[in-house]
Amino acid sequence: MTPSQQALWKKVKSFPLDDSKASFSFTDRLARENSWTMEYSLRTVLEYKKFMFLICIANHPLTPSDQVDQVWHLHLLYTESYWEDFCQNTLNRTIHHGPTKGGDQEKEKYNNWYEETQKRYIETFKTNPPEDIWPPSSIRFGELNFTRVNLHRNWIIRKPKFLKKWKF
Amino acid sequence: MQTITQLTPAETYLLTQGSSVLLKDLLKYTFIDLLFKRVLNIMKPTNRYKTLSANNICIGSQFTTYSPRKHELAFLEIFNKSRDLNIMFYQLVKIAYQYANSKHKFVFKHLFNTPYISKSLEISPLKNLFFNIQLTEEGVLLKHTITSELNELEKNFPKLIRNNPQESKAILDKIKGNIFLLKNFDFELLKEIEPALKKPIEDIEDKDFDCFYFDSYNTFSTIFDNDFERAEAEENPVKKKPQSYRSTHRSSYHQRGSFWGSLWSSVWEGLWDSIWNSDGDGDWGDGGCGGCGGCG
Repeated sequence: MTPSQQALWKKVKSFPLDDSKASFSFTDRLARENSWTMEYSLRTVLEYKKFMFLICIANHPLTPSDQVDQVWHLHLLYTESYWEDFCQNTLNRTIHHGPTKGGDQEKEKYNNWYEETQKRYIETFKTNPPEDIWPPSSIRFGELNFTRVNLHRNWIIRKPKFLKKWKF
Repeated sequence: MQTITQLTPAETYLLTQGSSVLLKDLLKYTFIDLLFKRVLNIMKPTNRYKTLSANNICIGSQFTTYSPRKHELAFLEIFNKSRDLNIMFYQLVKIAYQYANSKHKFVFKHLFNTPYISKSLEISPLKNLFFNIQLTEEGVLLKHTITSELNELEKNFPKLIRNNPQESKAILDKIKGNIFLLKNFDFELLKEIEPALKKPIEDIEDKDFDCFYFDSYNTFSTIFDNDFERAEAEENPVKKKPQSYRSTHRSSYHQRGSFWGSLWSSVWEGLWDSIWNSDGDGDWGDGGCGGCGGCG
């Protein structure tokens, strides 16, 4: 990292996503909405910050893991924090979020970007991205089958391992 | 003073109190002991919110060289995975609560792994299920020794602080968080011999000085208890009680003071952990929409 990159990373890393006065903070919400533990949520928030920093210093498009993407989605809901405090005052640039347009070409494009992101991560932070937050591309793009479930009316039961590859 | 120097305060507390220990206190003593060992630091908040709950916790100077016992990982596991993190106090309490999962699991899965504890507790599946802790012969002897050492400290340590601060500091460095197990001790006296209790770190980059600043032990203890109860209520909606109930009936609710109280807690914690054995280790259920790509 160059000195200016180090200075930016310091600012990004210390950016407060949690309002300590709130009884239900950003990370609390993230944990609840994704059924993550607090430990996992906090680590994912740090990875989100690393990803946003990488976007700022990279000269090509990058793609986050699904977990990091969930943090990004939630941050986008806190519009003032995202657009003003984070983009405008911390990163000094705007970062838009662009969902895929679908199709095989797009899939391949994002696959390549995702692998590029992981390479860039290793170069910059001199460490491998944690695999439980940055899974391999095969899992990142192979296990996208999510839906909203009303837990007041439904139970969720984990599939046995040998059935996981089947989509029923 | 040989024995308690070998034990963490959670181990000492378990051996002396047996079945009546509280998960909240096991965790609290573990946390404060890690502060004394400079494995963790409390930083003063740099923002305008000046409550302990909002203080950030980060790794201390001894973190990299310290070999933690399994029960201490409740507070350290996250920093093993990401040393860069600084975490708000209430969040770390919640992480520890989720790691511990229940008193039953914390004692029999985590604390039980240490040599002193494993040789001191009887292993009986039925008794363990109902959290009825019984000591072995060796355990009884150990309890006797620990109690004598604590009594001696309680009697002599305040005088020693006044008369010989250097020697008292040396003792404190050996017993660390065990000091907080003393019943009638004025913890404010510790500020006279422990400089780390006085000065907060203002900046995360300043790692030269370890500190665990808080106004007083009582303040720390009360805030820890509140944050623990908050985590407990969020994780176990069945156990959730109105604040007034929890504050006025805490003893009977947690300490198995009555038959029904003990039956309820034992069945809930014991059966749930032993039979259903929900592991609660860092599960991550994916959710939300898929297929989002990054921006250019």
